[in-house]
Amino acid sequence: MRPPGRGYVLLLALVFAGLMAASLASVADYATLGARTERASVASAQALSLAEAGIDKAIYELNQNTSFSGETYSMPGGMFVTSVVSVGSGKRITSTGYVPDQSDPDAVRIVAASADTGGTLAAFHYGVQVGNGGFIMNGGSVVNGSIYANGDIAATNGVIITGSAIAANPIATTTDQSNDTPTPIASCTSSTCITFGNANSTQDIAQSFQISSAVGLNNIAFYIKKNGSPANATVRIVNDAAGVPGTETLMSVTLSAAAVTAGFGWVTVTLPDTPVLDDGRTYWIVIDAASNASNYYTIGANTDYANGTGKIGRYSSSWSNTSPANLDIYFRLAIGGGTSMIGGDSYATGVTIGTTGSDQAWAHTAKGATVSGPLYCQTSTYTNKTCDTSKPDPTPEPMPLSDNNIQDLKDEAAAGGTYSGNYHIGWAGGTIGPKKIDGNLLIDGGGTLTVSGTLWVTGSITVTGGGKVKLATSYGANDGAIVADGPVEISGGATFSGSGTSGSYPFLITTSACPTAPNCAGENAIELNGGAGTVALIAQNGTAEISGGSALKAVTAKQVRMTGGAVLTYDIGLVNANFSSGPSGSWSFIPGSYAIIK
Amino acid sequence: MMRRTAHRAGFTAVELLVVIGIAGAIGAALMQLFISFGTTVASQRAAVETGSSATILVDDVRDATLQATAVLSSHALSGTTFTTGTTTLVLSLPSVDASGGTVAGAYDYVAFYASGTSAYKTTDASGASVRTSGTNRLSAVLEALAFSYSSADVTQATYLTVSATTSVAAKGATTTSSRTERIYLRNI
Repeated sequence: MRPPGRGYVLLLALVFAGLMAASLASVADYATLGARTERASVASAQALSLAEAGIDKAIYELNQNTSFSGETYSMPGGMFVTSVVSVGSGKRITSTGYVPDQSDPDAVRIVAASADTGGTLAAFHYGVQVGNGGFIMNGGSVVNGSIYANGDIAATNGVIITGSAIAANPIATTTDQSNDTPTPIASCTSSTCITFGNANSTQDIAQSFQISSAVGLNNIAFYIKKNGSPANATVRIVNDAAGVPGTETLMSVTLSAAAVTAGFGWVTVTLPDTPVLDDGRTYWIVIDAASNASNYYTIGANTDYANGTGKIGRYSSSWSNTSPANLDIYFRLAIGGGTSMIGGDSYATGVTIGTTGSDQAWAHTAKGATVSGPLYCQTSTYTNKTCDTSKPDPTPEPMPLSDNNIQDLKDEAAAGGTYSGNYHIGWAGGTIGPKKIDGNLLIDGGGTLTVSGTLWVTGSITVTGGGKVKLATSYGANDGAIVADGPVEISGGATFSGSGTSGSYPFLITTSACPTAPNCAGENAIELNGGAGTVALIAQNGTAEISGGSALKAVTAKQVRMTGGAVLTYDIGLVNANFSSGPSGSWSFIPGSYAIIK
Repeated sequence: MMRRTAHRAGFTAVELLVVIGIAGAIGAALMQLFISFGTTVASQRAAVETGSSATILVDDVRDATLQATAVLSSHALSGTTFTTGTTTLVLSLPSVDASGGTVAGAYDYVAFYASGTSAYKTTDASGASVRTSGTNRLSAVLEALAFSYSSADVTQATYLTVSATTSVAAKGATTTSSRTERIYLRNI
C-alpha cells in the first residue's frame, strides 16, 4: 500500500511534461507548416517550369519529326509528360510537369499550347475528308477506313464504313450578303422601289450576288410589299449567263403571297442547303411572279450592293436593265445553319459503321445506321442503339491545303519552265519536272511518268490504259505534287507510287470546281474508276466520284460520291504531307494558344 | 497483529514557506515558458499567414500574366474601370474552353489591385470561357503591392515584375514577407 502523501511529485511531473510536450508539438507544427507551405509553393513553380519546358521540347521534336506524338522525360527532381495531337493543320501540345515524379508528386501543373507551321505544311488527319458538299455513298459501296465530312454522310442501301464516320454541322447561320438600307423607305420612287409582276416586260425581278464562303444557303429575306392580291411567286437561285440570269435552276422555293403585306416588311423564304454554291462565283436570285396589272409586288431598291446588280424582265424570255439602271433589290442572304446527318435509310442496316468497339459514328442525326462503337448524336431513328448525347455536334474541320499552299506548288512548278501544249506520255514513258504544262497531260499506253519535280498542268490530267505515275528516287522520303487546274480522270488500271522510300507519296491535286463550275459538261473534278495505288487525291473545290475498286492513300474533296459497288481502301499513316519544297516549314508556337490548365 | 493508527504531525511554518516558495518559482518559470511558447506560436502563425498570403498573390499574378496576350493600359471590368500602374495590373487573356484550349477571338480580362491592406483579383470572363467572373481577395494582410513593366508603354510590355509585401503584427512584433518575381507574357 502506497503511503499517503507520497508520489504526487511524479504525477505533477507527468502533467507538466504532458503540457510541455503538447506545447512543443504545437510550436513544431506551426514551424513545419510554414516550411511545408513554402515547399509546396516552390514545387508548384518548379512543376510549371517543367511543364513549359515540355512544350518547348515538343516543338523542337516536331521540327525533327512531324509525327512526334509526345514523350515522358525525367530529370533530377522532376519530370514532364507531353502529348501532341493534330488539330486541323496544327498541333496541340499538352505538357504535364511533376515534382518530384509522376507516381507520388508533390506538385502537378499542366500547360497546353498550339503549334503550327504558318499554314505551310499540309495535314491529312482523315483518309477521307470531305467538305461541305458531303459524302454520298450508296449501292453496296465500301470505305475501308474513316470519314470526316463537313456536311452530311448520306450513306444508304447497305453500304459499309469500316472505321469511324463523323459528320460535322455546317457553320452557324450568318448573314453573308445583304443590301438593306435605308429602311423604312420614306417614299417609293423609281430609284428606291422596283415594281414587278405587273406586266410582261416587268414580270420578274432578278439580282445577281456572290457568296463569300462555300457554305450551304439558309434563307433569303426580301423587303417587299404587295399591291392587290398577287399570286404566289417562285424564288429561284440560278446560274449566271453572261451577265443575266441563266436557265439552270439550282434551287427554288415558293414566296407565299400571304406572307407579303400591303406595307413594306421583310419576308423570309427558307432555301435548301444543297447544292452548295461556290464562293466568289456569280449567281442570280430570281423572283418569278405572274403578270397582272392590278395585282403585283413592289420591292425596295438602291444602288449600293457591291457584288451584283439587278435586272428586270421575264425569266422565260429576256432580261433588261432596271430603270434607272444598276438598281439592287433589298435582300438579305443567310448561309450556314442546319445540322448534320449520317445515314438516311429507314432500316438499321442502311449503313454499317465500324468494326471495333472504338469505331464511332458522330453527327447530329443518325438514321438507318448500325454502329459497332459509340453513337454520338442528338436524334436517331432506325439505329441499332440510342444516341449517346454526351458530346456536342462535331464542328467543321478545315481542308488540309490552303490556296496559298497550292499557289506555292504552282510557283515551284513554273520556276522550272513552261511547256506549251498538251503533254503525252505513251508506252516509252518519260521524266519531267519541275514544269508548268500549259495544256493537258495524258498518260496511257502502259507508259510511266517519272515526276522529277512539281508539275502544274493548266488543263486536265488523264491517266488511263495502264499508265503509271511515280516519283523520282530523288524525292527520298518526301512527297511530290502534281497540280491541275482542270479535271482529273484515272481509270483503266492506272497506278501511282512514291519514290520507293517509305513515307513518300504522290499527291494529285486539282483546283477544279466541277461539276458546279461552268463548262464542266457534267464531269467531276476527279473521276476515279479502279486502280490508283498509293496516291492522295485532292479536289477541295469539286467532287470526287469513285467507282469500281480503288485503293488510295487519301482522298479529300468538297464532295465525295461513291456509287455502284465502289470500294475505297485507304492506307492509314499519312498524317502530314511533307513536300520536298513548297508547302513545308518549321513548327512554332502559336501566340495566344498558351493556357495553364492546372 | 494490532492495527496501528498513523499519526502525522502538521507542517511547520518554515516548511510551508519553502513549499510556497518552490511552487511559486516553478509557477513563474512555467508562466514564462507559456508566454514564450505563445509568442513563438503567434509569430509562426504570422509567418505562415504572411508567407502564404504573399505566395498566393504572386502565384495568381504569375498564372494570369503567363497566359496574357497583353497588359492593358486600362479596361472596364464588370462596370469598373481599372488602369494599369504601379499598384494595379490589367491583363487580357485568351478565353479557355473546358478542354483547356484557347478560344479564338474571345478574351477574359483580369485586374490585380491593392486597396488598403487587401489585394484583390477581379475577373471579367467572356461567355466562351470556363473562367468565372468575380472578385477574389488574395490577401488581407497586404503592406505593399507594386508592379513594374519592361516598357514605359505598358501595352508593349513583354514582361513585368510583381513585388508583394505582407505583414502581420502579433504580440508586439511584426512579421513581414516579401515576394518578387519577373514574369514573361507567353501569349505575345
